[in-house]
Amino acid sequence: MALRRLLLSVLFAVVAGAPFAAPAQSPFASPHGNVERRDPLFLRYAEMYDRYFEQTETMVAANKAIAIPMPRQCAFIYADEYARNQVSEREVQELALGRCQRRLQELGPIGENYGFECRCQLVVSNDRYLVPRSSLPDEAYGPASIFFRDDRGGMARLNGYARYGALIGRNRSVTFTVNNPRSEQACDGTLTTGGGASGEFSLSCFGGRLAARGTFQSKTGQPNDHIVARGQTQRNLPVVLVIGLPSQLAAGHYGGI
Amino acid sequence: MRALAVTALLVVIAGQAAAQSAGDMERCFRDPRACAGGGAAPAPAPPPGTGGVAAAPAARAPDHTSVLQAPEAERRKLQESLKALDKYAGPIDGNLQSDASTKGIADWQKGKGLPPTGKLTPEEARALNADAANAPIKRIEPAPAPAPAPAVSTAAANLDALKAAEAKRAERRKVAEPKAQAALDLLLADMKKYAASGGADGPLAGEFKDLKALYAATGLGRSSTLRVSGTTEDYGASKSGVAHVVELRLAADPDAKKPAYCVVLAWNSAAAAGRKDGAAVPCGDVAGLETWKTSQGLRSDWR
Repeated sequence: MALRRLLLSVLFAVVAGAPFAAPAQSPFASPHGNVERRDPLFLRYAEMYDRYFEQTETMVAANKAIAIPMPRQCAFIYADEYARNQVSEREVQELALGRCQRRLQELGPIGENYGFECRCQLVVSNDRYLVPRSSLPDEAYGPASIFFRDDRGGMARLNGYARYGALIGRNRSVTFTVNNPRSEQACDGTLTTGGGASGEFSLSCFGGRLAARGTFQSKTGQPNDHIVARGQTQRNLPVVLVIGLPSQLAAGHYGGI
Repeated sequence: MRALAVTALLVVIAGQAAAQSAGDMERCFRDPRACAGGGAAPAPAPPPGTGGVAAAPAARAPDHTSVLQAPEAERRKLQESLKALDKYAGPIDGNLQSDASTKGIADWQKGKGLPPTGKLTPEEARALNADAANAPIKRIEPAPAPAPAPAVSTAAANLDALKAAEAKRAERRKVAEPKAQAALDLLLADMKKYAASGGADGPLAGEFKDLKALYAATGLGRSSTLRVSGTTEDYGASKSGVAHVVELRLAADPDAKKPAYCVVLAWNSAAAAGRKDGAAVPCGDVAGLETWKTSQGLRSDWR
């Protein structure tokens, strides 16, 4: 009798607990498909690609989660978390989301760059996309600032965001656009590597009214991976373009032209 | 004929110079379509009277006294405008005849192509205020050395900003707490009714369509003695009003020997309306919950 009661209890607990314990049965789980190596998200972040697909320690993790700021224009940082079985999928998701949010806060306000709210969101959990793939970044995006000093000493600080079509370093020439915070395109240009993390750039804004050429460098690490391009207009006026740093950080590091 | 050609050349040169002024570039950036042709600059915010600031032929002596005799508030405002344009670093005392003020005015006039008299006509005063109002970002003086700002100061500034944001959020949460608690109390009462009906009737039945399946799976069945407890998990403005996210724990056993079941209910409420956009998710489904929050545009006052 006691055994029967025990069996019934176990059965009851399994049946009853299942819907709450298994995220896979979530009414919100939507089939957005599984991750693949060549997905733009992984091509964009080479280090994450390595961790997710190449490095033994992380690729075999029982639970993996990736969070990025969304919408896609905001995805200039990311957070990926990996854990073995002792950490649940939920905890790994929380870790990724929390780290993304912290990172975003640490880099300072981005309201001068984006006229819309950027918010960290889980996009991948255990090889499953949690959002439609079409909403994910298909190219590289980042906050952008252009500093320009005119011949009267007046200083212009143009803050928005940039979109660039391919990966610096993998493609020799990369085109980019700079939009204002209202997502109106103001500038375009090219970054041409001479091999390595530096090269030449050209910039043209407002139908050529502000045009500059010069050199750029890709910088990795603190405060965030970014590109800084320094050049001059045809009238030898200095122009600096920074991609990858929110406006205040960009001004703090490169605004003093 | 020659004079005409020289004049035309001067106009062209002046036009080119204006085409690359910092102010123009900022205006173009704010409204790229206005400058897309690459030709004429978008009309700068109208500085009445001075417009292109080409000095008008002096048919009569300029009026420099009106501004000096203007009310102190207006004179202070002009000093503030000079300061905003980085032409003045002195005190805001309304004294437009001080050395610093006259120098600042002369600098500004020079920049506009006006005679640098150091005194303002009423038209120039209006143009100066308009210039300041249209200068969204203050000039940055060139740094003595182009060394990157030390990371420590940036980190410290960000830490301060983070602390300030947290303090602000704590304040918002304090304000939100009574409202969130009232909504939670109502939900707990409704949940009891729902359990008493075996997951069939009551206000919740139509509001959270996913709840029925989740409740059925708990096996708690019809229970008038169900223990229901809950905590607010998130709360804040959403695109359809106010979003509530509540974590509920359900237990049939009064001694709590059996495990409690956990479900998160999320909904929006608006003035004079009940719960809408309801969603029920298992407590472990962080991604599902975040998806709902994002879809509702939740701006948290809670966490």
